[in-house]
Amino acid sequence: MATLRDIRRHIKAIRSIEQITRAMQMVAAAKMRRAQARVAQARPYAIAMDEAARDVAKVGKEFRHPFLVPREEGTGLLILVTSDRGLAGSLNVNTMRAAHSYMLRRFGPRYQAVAIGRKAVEFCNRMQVNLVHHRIGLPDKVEMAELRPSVESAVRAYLQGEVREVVLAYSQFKNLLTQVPTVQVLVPVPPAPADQGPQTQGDYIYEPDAQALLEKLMPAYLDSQVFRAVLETQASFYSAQMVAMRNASSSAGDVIRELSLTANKVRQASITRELMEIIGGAEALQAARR
Amino acid sequence: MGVPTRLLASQKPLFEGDCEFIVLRGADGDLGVLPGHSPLLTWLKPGEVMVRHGEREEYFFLADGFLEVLPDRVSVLAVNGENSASLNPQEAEGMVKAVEAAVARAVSSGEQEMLRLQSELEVAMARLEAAERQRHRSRD
Repeated sequence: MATLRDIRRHIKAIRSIEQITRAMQMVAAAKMRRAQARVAQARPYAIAMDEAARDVAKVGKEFRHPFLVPREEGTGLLILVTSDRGLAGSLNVNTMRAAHSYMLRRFGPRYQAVAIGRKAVEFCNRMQVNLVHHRIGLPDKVEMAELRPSVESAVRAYLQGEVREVVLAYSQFKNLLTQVPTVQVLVPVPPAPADQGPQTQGDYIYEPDAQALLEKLMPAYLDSQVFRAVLETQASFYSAQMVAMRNASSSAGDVIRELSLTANKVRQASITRELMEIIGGAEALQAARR
Repeated sequence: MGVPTRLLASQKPLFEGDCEFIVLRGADGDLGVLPGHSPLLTWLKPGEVMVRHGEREEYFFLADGFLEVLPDRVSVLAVNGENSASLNPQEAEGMVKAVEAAVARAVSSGEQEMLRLQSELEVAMARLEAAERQRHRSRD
């Protein structure tokens, strides 16, 4: 059985773990609020860009940009967005599992990937998928321009013709407790449904012309979607981390309570034993006197 | 009756509401959008956008962006944009100077870098112009 000293040492260790998890919870909470505000502000632009691209996919006839033409042949390219760090519960695992099972189903195990976030890089290496580009260490105040190289490498892979579909996977931030693993087909651009977007049969007027316009619009569309995915993932990460750390702190509290109870019992037992010994000794002495 | 209009920058929404008239700098020159305009897609040059709703006219500076006009919806989408009211001529001029200095330093660097700086300079100059116009407007 553990001695009192062992138990006390254990309690002390857990108390210092609790202090760390509590501190991490505070930091994550502060960062979460900022990340949440950023994603809420950035979402409308990304959604509108997505709509614009889908509108063109639906009615555009004048110039069929390669991003608008479905392909028969080729593999898939996954843009996988995760956090760099862990300690956030099952957040990244959920995203990666959803993305991987989609890619496996559509393209088999030999698909290509662009990994954003250290967890994504590690995952791609473990799965031995063909990693064409990776990016780690993005700051919290990430700017769209910083994602350009990642987007460009995906575009290049698509234009080279080996890829027939570009897929984006990230963790969508709903609220503090809910983050939804999201898998979204970026290219070929899915056309807007019949009841949405332009209701006319006619095409747009393009200025300066259809080709020049679409060659600018399509990369901007990809930028906007990947940018949003990174912001969503950041907000998801900090909320998941905050919740994970809160759970860790509260179970540390539980363990401390239980150990304290054991420590008290052990202490009580040793006091009782000492008392018994003293009383036993005293009684033996008295008996001897009589 | 106006047409539902949204002006969205990548970092934050700038304006949302029904507009009777919108003026922007399109790829083929300045253009005005009235309700019932036919579907149009164009990119925007760095410069100001004016939206008129009711009695009010509001101005925004956009560094770049796209315009999508549908009969029942107008979307202006810009990576970088801000309300003209928040522009400051001194600060805008400082930015022009900074980019000019960068151009001077980059004379020997590659063509791609020069192209990038050139478009950056174009944005900074347009921004300065917008800041000055805003100052005139607020004087009236």
